[in-house]
Amino acid sequence: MACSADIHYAELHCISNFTFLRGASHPEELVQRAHDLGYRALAITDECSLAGVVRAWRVARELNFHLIIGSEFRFDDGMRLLLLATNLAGYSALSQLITDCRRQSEKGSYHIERPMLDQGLPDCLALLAPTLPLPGEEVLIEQTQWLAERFPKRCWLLYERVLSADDEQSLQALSRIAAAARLALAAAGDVHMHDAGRRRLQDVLTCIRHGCAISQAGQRLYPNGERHLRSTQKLARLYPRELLDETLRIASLCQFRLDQVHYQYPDEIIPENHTVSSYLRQETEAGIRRRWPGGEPVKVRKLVEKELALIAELQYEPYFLTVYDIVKYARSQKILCQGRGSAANSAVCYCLGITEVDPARVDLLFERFISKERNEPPDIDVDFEHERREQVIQYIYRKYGRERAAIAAAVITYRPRSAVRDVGKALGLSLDQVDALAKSLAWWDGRKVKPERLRDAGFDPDSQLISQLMTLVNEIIGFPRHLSQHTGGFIIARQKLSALVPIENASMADRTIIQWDKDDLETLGFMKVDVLALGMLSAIRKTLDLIENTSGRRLRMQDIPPDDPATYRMIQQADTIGVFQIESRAQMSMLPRLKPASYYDLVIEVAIMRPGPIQGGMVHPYLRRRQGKEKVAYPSDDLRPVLERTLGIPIFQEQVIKLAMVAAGFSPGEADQLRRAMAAWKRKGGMEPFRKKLIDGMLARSYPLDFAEQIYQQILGFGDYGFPESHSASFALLAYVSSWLKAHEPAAFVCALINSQPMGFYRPDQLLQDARRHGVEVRPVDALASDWDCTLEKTAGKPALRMGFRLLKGMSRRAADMIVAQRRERPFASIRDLATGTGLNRRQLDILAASGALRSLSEHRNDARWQVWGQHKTTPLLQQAPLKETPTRLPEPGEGERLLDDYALTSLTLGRHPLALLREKLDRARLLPLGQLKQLRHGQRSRAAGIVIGRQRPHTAAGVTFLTLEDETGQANIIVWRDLAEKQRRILLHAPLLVVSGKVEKEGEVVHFIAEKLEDYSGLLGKLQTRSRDFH
Amino acid sequence: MSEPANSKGELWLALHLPLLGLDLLQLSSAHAPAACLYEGENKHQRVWLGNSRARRCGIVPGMALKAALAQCPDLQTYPRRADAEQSRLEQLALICLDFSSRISLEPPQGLLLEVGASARLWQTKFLRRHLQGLLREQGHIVYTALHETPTGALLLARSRQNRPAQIPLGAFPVDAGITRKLARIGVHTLNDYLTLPEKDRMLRFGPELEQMALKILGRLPDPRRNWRPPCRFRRTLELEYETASAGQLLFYARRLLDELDEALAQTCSAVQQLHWIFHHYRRAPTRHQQQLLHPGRDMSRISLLLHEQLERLPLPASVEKITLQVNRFWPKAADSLSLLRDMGQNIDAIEPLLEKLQARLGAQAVYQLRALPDHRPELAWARVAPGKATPPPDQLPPRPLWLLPQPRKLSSIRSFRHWRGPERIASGWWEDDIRRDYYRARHRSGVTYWLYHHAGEWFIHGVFG
Repeated sequence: MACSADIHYAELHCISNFTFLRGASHPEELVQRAHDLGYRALAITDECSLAGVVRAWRVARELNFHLIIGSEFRFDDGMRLLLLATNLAGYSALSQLITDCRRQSEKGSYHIERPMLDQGLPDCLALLAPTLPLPGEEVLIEQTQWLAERFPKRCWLLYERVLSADDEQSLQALSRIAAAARLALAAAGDVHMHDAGRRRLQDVLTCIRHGCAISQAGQRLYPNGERHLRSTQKLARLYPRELLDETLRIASLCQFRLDQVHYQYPDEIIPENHTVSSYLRQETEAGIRRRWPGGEPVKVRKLVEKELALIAELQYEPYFLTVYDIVKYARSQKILCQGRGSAANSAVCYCLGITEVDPARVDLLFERFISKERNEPPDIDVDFEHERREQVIQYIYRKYGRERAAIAAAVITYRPRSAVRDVGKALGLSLDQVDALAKSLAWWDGRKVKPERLRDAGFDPDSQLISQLMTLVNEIIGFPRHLSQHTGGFIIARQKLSALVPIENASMADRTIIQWDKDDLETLGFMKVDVLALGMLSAIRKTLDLIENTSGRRLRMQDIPPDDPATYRMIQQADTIGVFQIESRAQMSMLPRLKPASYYDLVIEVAIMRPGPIQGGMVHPYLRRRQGKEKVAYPSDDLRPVLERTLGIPIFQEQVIKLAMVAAGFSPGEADQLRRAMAAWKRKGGMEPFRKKLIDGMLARSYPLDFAEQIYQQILGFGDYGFPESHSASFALLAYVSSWLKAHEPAAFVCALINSQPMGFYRPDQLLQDARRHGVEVRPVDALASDWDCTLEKTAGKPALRMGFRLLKGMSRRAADMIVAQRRERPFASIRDLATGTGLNRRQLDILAASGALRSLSEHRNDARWQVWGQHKTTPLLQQAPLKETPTRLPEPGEGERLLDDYALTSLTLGRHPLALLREKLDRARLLPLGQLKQLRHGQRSRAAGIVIGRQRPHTAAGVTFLTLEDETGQANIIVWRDLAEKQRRILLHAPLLVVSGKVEKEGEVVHFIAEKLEDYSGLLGKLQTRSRDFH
Repeated sequence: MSEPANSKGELWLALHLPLLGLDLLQLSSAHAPAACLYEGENKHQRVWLGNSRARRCGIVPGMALKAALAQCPDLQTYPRRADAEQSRLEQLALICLDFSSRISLEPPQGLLLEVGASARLWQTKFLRRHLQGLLREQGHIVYTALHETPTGALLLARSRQNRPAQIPLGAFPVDAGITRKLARIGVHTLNDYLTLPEKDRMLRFGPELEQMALKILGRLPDPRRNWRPPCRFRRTLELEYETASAGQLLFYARRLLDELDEALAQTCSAVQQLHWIFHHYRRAPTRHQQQLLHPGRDMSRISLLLHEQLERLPLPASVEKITLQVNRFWPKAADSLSLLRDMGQNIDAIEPLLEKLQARLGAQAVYQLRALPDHRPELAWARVAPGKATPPPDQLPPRPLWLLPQPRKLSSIRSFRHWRGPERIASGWWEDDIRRDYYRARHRSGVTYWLYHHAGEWFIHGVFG
């Protein structure tokens, strides 16, 4: 037996969990482990995939560990082949091969056949890894011969000893075959996991893959857990020395490193006779003349020059120009767009029209967002009207071709619910049990499954099954399940993209994605342009169009007057239903306290009601300082420039990063690592080292421990929801614009909002209710007047809103268009006329009748229904001959019935509120109308009923649920603390009509009702359906 | 509304058992815990029927079972058994045969009796009460109604109304969509419906409801199928003298088998299960069940088998009567056997042998081995009934044919040579976790054994042939 000290080994066959449902370890874990075990190299060979290699690379780079890039392929005849890249050309060839295998198959699968390798694969090594039990010797001889012809001197046969029966015979057979084909034999481990401890999870993954329970899985499972990274001592016992040595020879041939993949910007963005710099300069100057026809302020000129110099120094010109090109296209199509992100709020971007945030108006320093020291790639996300983003995407495909443009992947990972479902099924729980279990994790249980929830669902948390389940669930959470498309991250390359990264099919037809996600792209310095969809932009554009149609006045976004007092007054009163960003319950409760009065106040408002500042406990100190109740002070003079604009309280992500540098002595590189770790810690953890460094660093610079701890908490809070100032600045502008529109053109605004659904926080019926409260006349759906969309109708005074057919549940667009088209030719004289003219089916007619949309053609809804049901498809000949019908007098529907229909079809009644109909009963039960809650004193107890129109459980608010109740007198905000929510969970989550007992809390104009007890009064509603939107 | 004209002078008594399925589980009383029956598989499970406590929790038929459970977590749920309900209806019909010769089963929840003829003998009022009492004794909740038409009687019982005009349309067994539709224009009762113009209502609501309405009005015939008790075989033969001798009993049994053969011939049927009851004087009878591998009609084979069995059947006393009962007739099938024959298995030859072996040794003693796809040796095989094993998978690792019932601990492995292995089997963490390194090794005696090493100890687990 060899001494372990001189055992050297390179593992050449190892899959990660990016071979979905087979590999049981993250790529990072594998690399770390291989390094710790003293391996000389590790090849990540995921099956027909390179999706995990960048993650592996990130760790390998840090550890200075030899990572080999390869891939495993399975052929239809059972042959299993590994291909390893020796250099960049080999890597490109491999990437192309994977692309070919994947592009001709459905999403998530691949197909390879031998002819695809007829020319071998240049600069790749081929390793034949026969599956166990070994196929017959003839089969292997044929395979090795085939391979040896195509990969002369570049192929090996692998002996993988995983302690199965007949290992020795296998070794003998393989040695014979290798000798006959004159190939060398090498050792490998068929590695599926970094550590034997993942064996159970690997079994469970197998069950999930086969859709079976573990007790039925039988031989689909591996007979033992040997497929992990084993110690070199053990390997020395299992393999002949020369087989181990051979692995090193192979590894030494693989000299490719991922950082050799060199991304190049596309070059067609510049016209001839231009360099990137001269063209950027030219377009920027043109923009300056457009923006400041009377000459730009000195400040702006200075800024532009500084920025251009910085951009040139960092060679970011192509990036700005690529974004500029896309934005220019959108503008030519009259598609509204708005950029955000670190580079977006520059004077250059303002001149290029990428953003409307005016650098002269606000003091947003570009350098704050981009710096030389920090190795951040430029970041510009562009939001487009959500309904027309596809046009932009198609433009990009047209311009650069599908070879060179693709969408980044989003790695879909296991979340608690899916993990419980899949692991539960694999462990043999019945579907009912799995459901009960999954349901017990209602959306707010955080990332771990609590024992109490298990008991609720009828499980014993201490049983072996459940403890196994929980361990496995916690292990599998974060495991990738499949690749999906990123919401809009485009990657555009100068050459063929598939030479850089494999491309595969997405589930959407005609969409292709690359196998890397945005973190991977960032690691390798690829340029990514986020082409995002934003509903509010559609709504704003539609509002502007509507204003033009009704008043003839053409407004552009930049024409909207800044600093309009009426708009800020409205915002300060939290009268913001429907406007961008500041419409949520939590935001609305903040507005009257923060009282935004300027654009920058809005920037803060947008960013402050988020997990970072909330968890860091920054909200209240900021409010106190703003209200003048507390003196503005700075932890140190050094921090003054960092925190000045937010009254000494860190609110934005950029401030916290900067703070880490100034107050804790982080180097720019470390700060950048911190920024990345922040975004990922919820998924991966790994914040501990930063905590220590941060707190030690701050203590050393004599900052108080409390403050350091607060900053750390804030960093944790930024996690998934980090909201930097650079994004807030753009969003605040849209928040202002939408507020202005709501304040001055409420009818057009609500009309556009509804026509842009689905979007935003409120349902159409809530938006309409709000509009009515603001004096907008809302007219019901009418077959003689409505379009598919809501429309504005001229009146003597302000325009009225006509509800469109789109508000009718179940109404099809096609049917609505038929009605409109027919009506234009000849107005309908009767229901019969409408039915025969449009050829609408019974269902659609029924919806019209029930909703009252036939009001102009019938006596009442019952009559309309009777008439509609009498319509039969007739031949054209009979069409003219009126069918004789006995006149029938049907009872007119009562108010309650009409209301039920209204709710069933539009979730909205223009008649009385449902609770108005129940008021008598509610009075008898001594329930207060919600409108009267405001008049109660602070601390006074009461009991009130309302329909639940919103339940919100912000991740930030430590277990608080915000309920919004509504009755005919208005809305009320109810706060349900965690204890009560736990106790009355079912009622809280499910009851549409609630009675709440509790007490009033007042702070200035803000009134909250703190719930002490909930009662389910839904029975009163009868069939009345109300639905609330649950937000995560 | 005019009273129906019924020229035939019929009068129908309807019995409606709203909670029949729950009656069977004794869960229909007002004090029973919330319970419901459901239909459908997995995700499509829907509530079929709930008891009164369930109803109070808001459980209604048709709602998804999951939703019901969410609403009422303590709800007991049982799959609906339509066959059990049907056979209970038949049992009740048997009772009713005493009161009327014209009975119609109205599944899922009703029975109809024509009582016009017997009304003279029994006062109808009394009959109603009497039947109600009888059914309640049987543990049923029952509603009754009388009407000249079957449909009328059923719907009155179902809706618990007195006059047909008041019957709510929801009680009609028609597509719920139709009655919902009518409700949506304010038409709720039969009376409301009949006030709509006849031609127009047909056009809008279809013929189904219309026809039922006309049946209640007596304007359409409303024929019902007469229920007859089902046919099965049951014969009892009184012996000329009491005996306990197997030979003599067989002699009588053969007579019963001849009768059975005739009955089977008439219906072209076969049997698979025969129940023999040997009655003794003042003692509980001895029961014996004969089970064939496949349905058949070969009486000589059956009597041969019976002979084997009678010899081993302990009889506590001599027999005075023999009953042969067959509860189910099978359609005679010969094709399935020929299929097996084509597969090259001479099932004809082996079946009688197996049946004979089973008759001699007991059914449990004859079995076949089947390979199971489990890595753990103890769980890699199973006993199955003869003929039920599937062929083993293609690639099995080398395994001994003879596995010891329990692995035996070895004190020393010095006598073993020619070791091969290890094969590591580590599996079953979810139930019986094993972790063993197996070796094949030859003992001094020349026999190759299957050994394993576990936690520092050696065990012998099998012998290679």
